Amino acid sequence: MKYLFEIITVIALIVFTGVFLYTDTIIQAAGGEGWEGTDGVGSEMVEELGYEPWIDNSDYTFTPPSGEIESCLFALQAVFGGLLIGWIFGSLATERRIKKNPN
Amino acid sequence: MMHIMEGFLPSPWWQIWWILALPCLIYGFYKLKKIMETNREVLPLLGVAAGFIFVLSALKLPSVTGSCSHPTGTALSAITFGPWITAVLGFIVLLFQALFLAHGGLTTLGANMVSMAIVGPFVGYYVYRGLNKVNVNFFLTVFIAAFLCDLMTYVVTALELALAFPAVSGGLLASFIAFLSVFAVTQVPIAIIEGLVFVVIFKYIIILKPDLLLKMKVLTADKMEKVKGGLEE
Repeated sequence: MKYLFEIITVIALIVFTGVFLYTDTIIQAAGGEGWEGTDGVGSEMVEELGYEPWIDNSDYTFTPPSGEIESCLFALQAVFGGLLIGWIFGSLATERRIKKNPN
Repeated sequence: MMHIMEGFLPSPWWQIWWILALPCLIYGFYKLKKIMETNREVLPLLGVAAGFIFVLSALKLPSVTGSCSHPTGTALSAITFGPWITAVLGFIVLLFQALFLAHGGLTTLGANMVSMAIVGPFVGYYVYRGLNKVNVNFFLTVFIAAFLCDLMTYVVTALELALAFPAVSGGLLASFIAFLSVFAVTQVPIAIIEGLVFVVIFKYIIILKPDLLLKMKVLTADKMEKVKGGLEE
């Protein structure tokens, strides 16, 4: 099986997506909001103890003013990583092809 | 997300985690400088390792518990370059997220580095080396190491929060279990996916440029032959 690992990974991703869709219908049926970040959930647990954060990101830089701006910055981070990976894997693949077939 | 949000660690905890993280970071910079001076051929691999941390830690994935979390992407870097250099790469990502995304913050950066960039990669690295020594299948080893690398990050986050906020009844243990149920349970399916993704990545590195892994002593030459032979079937 030449593509065994790829097939396993794709199957896992499909199962993962299926579980997400299934969980989502349950949450939607219960009328909940859901799909918050775990760091938000963890922070809420701490706040329930009566703890107040003593410093905030806006004290020295800023908190993204909206979800759109946050996604934009996250996308930029991913783009930068993707460019690095694509460029390097691309160069390695070309190098290998030239070595195999010098003409 | 393994970030402890800004302001959510009181003194002395944020200072303690910073003090633990700082020497690792400095040693990491020293190791990085050494690799850049003496071993420049492996720099492409370093770029790819950094790239995967950037991409994967930007993906917020929904998980079984009805909340979202993200993979850490540190496994490639941890297995090939070891935990120290991974500490530097993790620091760069976490600093960016703390300054511009309000995910984590400067005071909690120390704690977040300990979980994502230091303890997780440490576990991944030593699990890889250990299993490799006892001749477990290479790809299975990568999977287990990457899985634990990701999961341990969140176990440590839960521990960091539990230490700072022990429960009134039940103390440290009760609050550790409570935080684990939020962080670690959400993370298990994501860690499985991450482990599989890194198996595929290692497969392609072996196809494209196996010398890089030999140079970083991830595999010995005869083991590499075996792994390559297995791929060509």
